[in-house]
Amino acid sequence: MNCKLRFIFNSSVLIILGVMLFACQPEKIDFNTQIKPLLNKNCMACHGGVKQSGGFSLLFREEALDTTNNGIYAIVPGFPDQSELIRRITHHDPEFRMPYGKDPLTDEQIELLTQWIKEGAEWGTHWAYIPPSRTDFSSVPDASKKDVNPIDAIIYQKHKELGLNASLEQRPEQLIRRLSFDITGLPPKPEWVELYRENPTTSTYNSIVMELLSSNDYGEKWASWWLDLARYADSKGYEADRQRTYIWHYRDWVIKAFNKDMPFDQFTTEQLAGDLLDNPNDDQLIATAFHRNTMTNDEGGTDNEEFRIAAVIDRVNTTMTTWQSTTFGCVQCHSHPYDPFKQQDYYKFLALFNNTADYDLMDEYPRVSLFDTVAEMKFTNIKNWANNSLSEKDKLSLLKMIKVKEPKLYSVDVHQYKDEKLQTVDRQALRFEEQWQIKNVNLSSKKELLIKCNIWKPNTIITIRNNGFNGEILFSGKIEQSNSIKSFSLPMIEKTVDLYVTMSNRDPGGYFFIDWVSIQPDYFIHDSKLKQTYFELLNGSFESVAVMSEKEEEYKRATHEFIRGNFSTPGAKTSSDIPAYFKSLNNSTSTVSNRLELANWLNDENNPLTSRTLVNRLWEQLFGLGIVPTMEDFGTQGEPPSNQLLLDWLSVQFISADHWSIKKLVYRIVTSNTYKQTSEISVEHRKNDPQNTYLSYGPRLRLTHEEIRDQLLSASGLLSKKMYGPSVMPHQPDGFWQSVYNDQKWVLSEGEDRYRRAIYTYFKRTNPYPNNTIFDGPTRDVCSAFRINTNTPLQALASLNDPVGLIAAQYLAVNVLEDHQTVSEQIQTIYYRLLYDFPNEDELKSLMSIYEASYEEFSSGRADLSVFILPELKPNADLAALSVVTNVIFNLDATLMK
Amino acid sequence: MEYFDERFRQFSRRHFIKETALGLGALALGNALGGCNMNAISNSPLDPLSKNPLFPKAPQFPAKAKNVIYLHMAGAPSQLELFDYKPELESLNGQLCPTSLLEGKKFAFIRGVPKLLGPVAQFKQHGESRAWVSNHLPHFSSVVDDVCFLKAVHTDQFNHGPAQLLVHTGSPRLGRPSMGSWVTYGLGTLNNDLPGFIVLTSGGKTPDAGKSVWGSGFLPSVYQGVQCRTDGDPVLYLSDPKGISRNLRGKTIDAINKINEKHFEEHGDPETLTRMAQYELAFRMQVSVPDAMDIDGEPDYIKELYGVTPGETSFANNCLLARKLVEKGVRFVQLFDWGWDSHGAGKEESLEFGFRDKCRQIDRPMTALLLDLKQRGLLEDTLVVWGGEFGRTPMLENRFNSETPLMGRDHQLDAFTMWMAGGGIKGGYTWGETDEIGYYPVNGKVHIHDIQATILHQLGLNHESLTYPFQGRDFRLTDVSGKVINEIIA
Repeated sequence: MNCKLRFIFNSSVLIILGVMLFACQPEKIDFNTQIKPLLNKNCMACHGGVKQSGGFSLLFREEALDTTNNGIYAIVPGFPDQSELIRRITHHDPEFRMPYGKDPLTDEQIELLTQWIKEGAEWGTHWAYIPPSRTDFSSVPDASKKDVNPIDAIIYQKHKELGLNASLEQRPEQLIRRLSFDITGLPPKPEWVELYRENPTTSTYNSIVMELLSSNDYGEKWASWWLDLARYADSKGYEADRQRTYIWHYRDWVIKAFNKDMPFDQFTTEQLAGDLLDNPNDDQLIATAFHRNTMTNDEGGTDNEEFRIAAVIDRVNTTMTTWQSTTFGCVQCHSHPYDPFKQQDYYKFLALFNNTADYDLMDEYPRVSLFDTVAEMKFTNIKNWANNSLSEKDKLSLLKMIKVKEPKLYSVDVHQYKDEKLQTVDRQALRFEEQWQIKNVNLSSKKELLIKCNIWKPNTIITIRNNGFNGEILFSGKIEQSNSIKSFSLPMIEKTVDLYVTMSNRDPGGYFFIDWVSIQPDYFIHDSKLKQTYFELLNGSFESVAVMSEKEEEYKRATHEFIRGNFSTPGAKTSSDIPAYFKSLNNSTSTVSNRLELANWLNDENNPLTSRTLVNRLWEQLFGLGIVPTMEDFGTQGEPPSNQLLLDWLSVQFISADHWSIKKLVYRIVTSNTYKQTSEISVEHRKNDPQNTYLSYGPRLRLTHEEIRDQLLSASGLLSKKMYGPSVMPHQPDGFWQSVYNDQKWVLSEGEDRYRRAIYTYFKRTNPYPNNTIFDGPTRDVCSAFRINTNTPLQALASLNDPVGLIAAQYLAVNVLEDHQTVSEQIQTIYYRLLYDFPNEDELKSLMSIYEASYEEFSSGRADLSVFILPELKPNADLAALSVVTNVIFNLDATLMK
Repeated sequence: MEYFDERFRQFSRRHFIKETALGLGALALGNALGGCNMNAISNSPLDPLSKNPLFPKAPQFPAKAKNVIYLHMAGAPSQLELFDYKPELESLNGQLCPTSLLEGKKFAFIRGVPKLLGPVAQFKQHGESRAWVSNHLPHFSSVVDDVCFLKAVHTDQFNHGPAQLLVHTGSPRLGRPSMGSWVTYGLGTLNNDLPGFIVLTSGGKTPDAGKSVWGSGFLPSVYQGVQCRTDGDPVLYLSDPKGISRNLRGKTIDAINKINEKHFEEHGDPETLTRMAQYELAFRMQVSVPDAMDIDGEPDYIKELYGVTPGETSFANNCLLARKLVEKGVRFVQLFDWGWDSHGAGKEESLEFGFRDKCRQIDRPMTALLLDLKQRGLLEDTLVVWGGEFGRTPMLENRFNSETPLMGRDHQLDAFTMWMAGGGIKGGYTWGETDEIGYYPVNGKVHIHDIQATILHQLGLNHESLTYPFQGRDFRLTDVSGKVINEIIA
């Protein structure tokens, strides 16, 4: 055989062998689904972001391929034989075998890792970091086609794969009831149920959906969902837990935003950065109270900086949870153990939030003043004047001072001295006989010093000196007792100086303070009348809401990393940005340097997480289980989506077709057959899809605590439809509130305020309304991405005995007694009012027998009518018996569920 | 994480069907512990109660204690007037505090240079263990041989709210689950007719940190402490409305459940069965809770032992209630007694007056509690813990640098005394020592997290593996630290 021939022979054998090998070979190993879970479970605890035992980490590919502490390569792509990782997981000696001290990996797992390294040990991008727009939607039918809801098509596709069958449509009364609760949080109008019962067509159904979506009830329902994420409450938290005044304006802002279907990108921008928009209006400033819902510690002697940092950290974690379903909290102390975030990323992100002017002060400044009509006119005058007379920069500064009283300096912003010794500052104000040193004040133009005085002693003298405690006096004068902002004109001395502010009084003792100072141009040199108007606005008493306000450039704080997450051990200085990994996804080199740019990044259609997160949250609200079940975590430790095509298709539609409209998204979902399926299903169904992960039947969920209350009030006709305003205090057991250092009392509201929707109930963090807690509402201390439903005896007791339910039962009974003759009719009517159907024979029998037993007790006098029935309802045995039956109906499983 | 998964499945509706074996395993445990009230626990795997998240569960390793009674003196009592005797401080009384002791220190109210303050009490040694106890606690000094003193406990927080949160939730911020919640999450309850974690307060106010000190944080709300009040309903909404008789209530619950059963047959949602069981339990609780909370029926010698006044809210009543509750299988009983913040700013807050009165209020009851538990054989498996959220300074408080006419001490976090008794802890033992003036630990220093780790350990729970995933990480009671204090374990 000549050489040539031999070569041909050999190569053909090789080719044949190669083809055979290829044919037997399974598909290439997928890092995300096959390798990453294995690494997370068995390796990452010691070789991840927290610990890198032996100098080896599996978090990033470049780290994993680097040498380890003993100079050996753990992974050599393409060469499992040379990879220490394989040697160690197959080692015979348990001292050396990995995972250390645990059962060895199975042969199958070892084979998988070997093959993966052989194939090049490639890292994949976790599904959640690839934008949904890159998903292949070719199998999804066109949404514009009539009679095909792509949601259903996608879900049926999955059913087919898994051998599941969808369920039939739910009975009209149950479907419309659930629909109504889901969209408005209230039971439906009976007409709608009847309309659909008589004419169960898609167009009838869709028009009911439209009606519900356009009702103002919609915003009051969905706001609750958002307020859990925003950790909204009427109090400030911590020990004193005092009232957070006027914060309800933020709650109202959320309700209104939902009702006008504010696009979610705008909703995002205004809450995170409304103050950084051009000429923000009051609403845009109020929106930023989203991040002023952090707790404030009013307790004496606490370190304001410590609690300011706590609030900033909360803002970081809340932002990442709310918009990105990303668990960022762990990165505070160390790099993420499982996801691609380094500790440095955390502090870059923190820097975005570190320069707002608030810092755990009792008065919670900065606050936006909400002017009444007269004040608004005065404000307009000044605005008009400023438009013509001031530079753009000065104009904005002036308007900012009037609206939010910024910029200003507190004791933490200046150097505070006592007896000429520098003090550690632990409080807000400058006290009697202390001095403030304000560095680097440029007096080359005419400046004014504004001082917020809090002085309750006559003959107090304020002295302002130049360059030293004994320096030249620039101003000295007696000021009258006052709690107001005063202005002191500073001389022009053409240079930059340090100012020394002192307060003194011959008569010692007593408290008097300077709350803050501000140095600003003397805007009104030539217009004393306008200056007067200006001070009227500054000193006027208006409703005001705590808001975000960015510090001016010259007063900005430096941000440092905290070593092991502790604020008292600052490390390297850092600057604002989003996590590097997110930038690497788009090969982006531009820096995200403020909250507005942050909002823009979240709203960018290439952000892989924002729309998915929102869609998933909404889905969970409607079906009780997210497409990604781990609501707070889309990372590699979260569960993968049960149907990624569905999640991605909805996410893309949400941005590109619906332009971030939440109402349109709700409409899309609730008009699907998937949503309309019945929850009455066979054992077989439940067995094949036990958690209803694949939506092979309809959801059956317990009403939220808000819905439970609102349902009873609505059925009884007591529900007040009044919207907005200060939170109210409905019936609550006596003595439920006992607070330390806080005399606030629960004072039962008057009139219709007793019967407002639950969203308006006063929320005190350390002592939430009992039914909120009993029925699984969160404490709103921190961002809460979902509520865990429980089923407890305390719920049974509350539902049976809460006075709200009893009052509602009696009012409903009175109402029905008037119009219906027979007891049977009365009972059936009440049953219908709650469940939109009539009881069957057995049920009616049970209810009738309760009626009779109650009637017997009340008419015989064994039970006391006069204490059971509200006096204004004219107690009689018929009413009492019917009220007891109503209470039974209120407590039915069917009533408490939707 | 595994722990969480297992626990979570039990109440999560979507996991409902999966779990049937657990009920039987837990039942076996109940027997092993000689658990009480086994009648309440059905052995049918289909009984919805066996899916109850509070169903008893095996500890992670054999436990020394089944129950905990935690006596928290809210406001932080002075260790220097009770247990940590410092004759040296006596001789330094009135002298200015050396500035070296003040440098870098932060106080709530002390300003400038304060004076040292000797003990405002007389001390003697007691029992075979020769433990020092002051004249403020004459009864308690008779039981010191059952008690283990921890004299060098320290904390990180010097304000009441955060410090109380640290003691009970392991973190100074709101939002974490309390110790009792962790324990009921880990072990369930032994009495299905009562909540597993009960809170009793006295002293006129709830703790500074509010109800968060017995909240369930991010754990399901079913694990939160249930505050049993001594006036009004012991449990919220426990009483039926006026005019509704027990008989009628029984009938209404029957009617509710009968209709629910019909509905269940139609839609087959197992959650309905759970709800039916919960209504039945609620009905039983309407009797069992007032019964457990009723001290009137106790024999006179017991009432006298504790010094109770039925009908009032007092620490004495709460101690007797704690014994009753533990006897009935309540897992974790938490007492808060408010009024221990002895700054000296007023008579009530002074070491000479208010503090002495507070001591008088607790001395007899807490002594009685130990004696009573012991005579019933309950002390063996009931861990009693006593302490405040921090200690008090050896310095006289000079609020805002001016002396007050009354004597008081400021907050101190570096060293204070706690004690434990029963539940497998050494009796007649002292661990830890402070310097001559009781300012810093000299040896045996333990942190609040160590106390927590030890309490969990006695219950058969490992503080490092009793975790719950939240915001991306596995949280635990002891945060990232905590070491079991092996030296005090019998």
